[in-house]
Amino acid sequence: MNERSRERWRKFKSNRRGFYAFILFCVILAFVSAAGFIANDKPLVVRYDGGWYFPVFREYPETTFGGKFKTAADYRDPYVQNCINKKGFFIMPPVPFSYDTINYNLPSPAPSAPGRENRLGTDDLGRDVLARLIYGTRSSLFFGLILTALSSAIGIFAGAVQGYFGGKIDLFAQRFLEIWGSLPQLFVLIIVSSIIAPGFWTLLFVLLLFSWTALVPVVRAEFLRARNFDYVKAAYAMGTPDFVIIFRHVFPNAMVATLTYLPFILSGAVVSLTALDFLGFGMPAGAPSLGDLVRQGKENLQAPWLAASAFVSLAFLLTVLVFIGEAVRDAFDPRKNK
Amino acid sequence: MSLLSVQNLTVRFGQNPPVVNGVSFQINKGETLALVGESGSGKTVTALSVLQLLDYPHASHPAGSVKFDGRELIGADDCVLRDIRGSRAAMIFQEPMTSLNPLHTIERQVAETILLHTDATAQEARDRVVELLKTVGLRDAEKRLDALPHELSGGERQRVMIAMALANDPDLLIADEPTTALDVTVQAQILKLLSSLQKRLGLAMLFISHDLDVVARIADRVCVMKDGQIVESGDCSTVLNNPTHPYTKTLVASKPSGAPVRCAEKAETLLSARDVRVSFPLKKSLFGKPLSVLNAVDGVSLTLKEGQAVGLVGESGSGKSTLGFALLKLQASTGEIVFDQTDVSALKGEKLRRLRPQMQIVFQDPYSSLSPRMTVAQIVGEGLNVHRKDMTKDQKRVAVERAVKDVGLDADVLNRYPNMFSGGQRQRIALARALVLQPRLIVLDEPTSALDVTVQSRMIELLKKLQKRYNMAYLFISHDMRVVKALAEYVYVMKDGRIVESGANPDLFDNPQQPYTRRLMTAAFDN
Repeated sequence: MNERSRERWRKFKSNRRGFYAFILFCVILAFVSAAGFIANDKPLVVRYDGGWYFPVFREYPETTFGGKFKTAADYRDPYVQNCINKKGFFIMPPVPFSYDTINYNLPSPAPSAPGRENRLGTDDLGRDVLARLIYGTRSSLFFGLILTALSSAIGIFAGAVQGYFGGKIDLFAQRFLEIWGSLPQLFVLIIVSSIIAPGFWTLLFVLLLFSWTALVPVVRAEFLRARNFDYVKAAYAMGTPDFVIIFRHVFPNAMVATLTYLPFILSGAVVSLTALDFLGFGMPAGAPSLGDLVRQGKENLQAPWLAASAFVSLAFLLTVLVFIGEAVRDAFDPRKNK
Repeated sequence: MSLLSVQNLTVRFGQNPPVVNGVSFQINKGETLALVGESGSGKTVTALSVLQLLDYPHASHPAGSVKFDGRELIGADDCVLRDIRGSRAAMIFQEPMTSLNPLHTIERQVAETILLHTDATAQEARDRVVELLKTVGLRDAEKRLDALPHELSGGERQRVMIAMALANDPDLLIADEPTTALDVTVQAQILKLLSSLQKRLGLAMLFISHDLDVVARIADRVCVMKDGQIVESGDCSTVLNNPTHPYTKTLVASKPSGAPVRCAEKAETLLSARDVRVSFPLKKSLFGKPLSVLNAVDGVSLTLKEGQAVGLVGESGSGKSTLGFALLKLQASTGEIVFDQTDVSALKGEKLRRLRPQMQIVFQDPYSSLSPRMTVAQIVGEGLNVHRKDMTKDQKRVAVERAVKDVGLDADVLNRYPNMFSGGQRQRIALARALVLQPRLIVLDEPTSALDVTVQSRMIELLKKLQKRYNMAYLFISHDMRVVKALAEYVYVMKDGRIVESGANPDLFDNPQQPYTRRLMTAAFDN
């Protein structure tokens, strides 16, 4: 790390709110990445008859634990639990439900209120809200991170080529962007989702079609400015190949503007996935997502725990991202010294 | 009693050590005092603190007093200061391009100070503005009252600035490098104007400059500043002719001088250009066809021999930098350019790239020509990474170290970043970057004009030494005849995109034929 980046890191840390938001974000990310160990209907460890079993990683038939059927063991079944307890023990994760586990012994009809078993209640199909929240946050964040990475890679490349070469390339690319930007994104998505069943990757692809343009104007403007710097001209006069000039001399100038945008692109990606899920054009039915939870909250106003948990977690996530974005912007702003 | 008396003035910013330390001087009525020094010596800060124009309270005066006509200005009330500023003491700034408001007519800007400080009516103010603009010698003053600043040339803008300063018959005029941003010939006119106005109106003038020749022309007394202190002061001719302080001695001695390096008698032609033209479209039709064009370079032919230093002189806007860029194929042009018997005007892509290491460029502004994110070793070594793939890492390191030593820097600078160096050192790094590829031609685009005088003369010595050692040819672009005389063996004079005159070094300077060349000469050498 050279002096300049150390200085930026210092400035980033000195924005306390943004720094703690960043730590919090890392914790959330690590937490939801381990969703399978935190919320699952399979035990973390089973000790049975002198052997160790790890059902989270592998599926075992009931017969392994002395049951009758050769089908996969259902560890929520009291019969299977009894079988294991006779010759050993098992440890369940802190939330003994996966996102698609239906709790059939509800005290009241689904959606049921928070209680000892389902700490945030269940949704209208009897699935645990907390488990769905954890898995939903995971898919939202992963989706957002992948989308951000891909769209900034494409956007930076397109903006760099436009800004550096300028002229006709720039002229035509700008007109293309104007036309592309005026396509109705939502309708294209509705049409696509009526042709192919939307899944994680197809949604990612369709959203990527529109989100890559976000960084193009920023990077293009920085390149248009920087291509006339004397040291860029000097590199050109030296015979340095264009792509070396672009990435070694010009891109670092655009880096600041780009990095500043990233947290905001990430929060935008999370919001658009949520919106699509809410409208029913998002992830396939049954997949855990924040948008799906919001939709259920809207449809079951008598069960406020649905809307409340969706709202709180979404608001929390977006606020954290915006705080990080602000701190990054401050850290890269040379005019802010203290 | 003197009009302005500065006693033991000290200025500091924040908690940093003072940038001006114990400066004292007096100016009497009708007298011109010059403050001379290199950049960073504290002369502008001194001038600004006279009118209390610094960024207070970030700036502070731990000691000292500034008395104007017997009244103490340090710590004075805003009302008192407002009364004096623009009315009894006025200031002219260095940059005429940015010190006028681009959105207001010149009449409004000049009349503003009049209306602020007197009870004049609009008509009276208008008459006064016309009178003032005539005094400062603006052509067709009546007709141009409604002109906006961008319709005026640099020299005319500076005249308007002077008119603004004179608007309320001040007793003291503070001129902060009023001619530095102007072309040499215009510079001479403005200086003449200032000194005649000063005599006619009996002004006291505080004149700030880094240029000893300018000072010698205008000042009665001179104070030489260095590192925030006045190291020598006295009568102008005494100080400049018989300097006593060692710093003043170096300043006086650092005028560019000496004879250029001669190339070998039978040197081959390295570069020859015939009928080179560069034009920029000013206005385009709907289909991109240019309707009117600016011919920045208009049919120029020149030749450079192996190891020869050729000067290219002209005012700003004469197209000399554009010509330099066109010869290196950094700027699209028409015409024939032959480098070492290869016609480069038709070359493209890889073939041109292979020729690039033989012709290099050094830019005017050392602050913008080095990437702030790379170390000196990376900057200097970049050319080797591109063109000398055959060299090992160690060989490259040795070559980089040698180039850095050639330009007079230590090898321990290699791991530092450009922001840790002064302007002169940066220009040396830029030169090392060009040298490392062992070029046969270097285009030097005003390499010394952004540097302080003492640094400038050392840079010229260095360039001559390297030229002799490596037998390189220079195309030296400059507006300063003195520098060109010290460096170039053959000189081309350029005006409005054309070569108006050319000749070998002493002949051209001894006997210039064209009036334009003579004007450049007078501006540079006539004291």
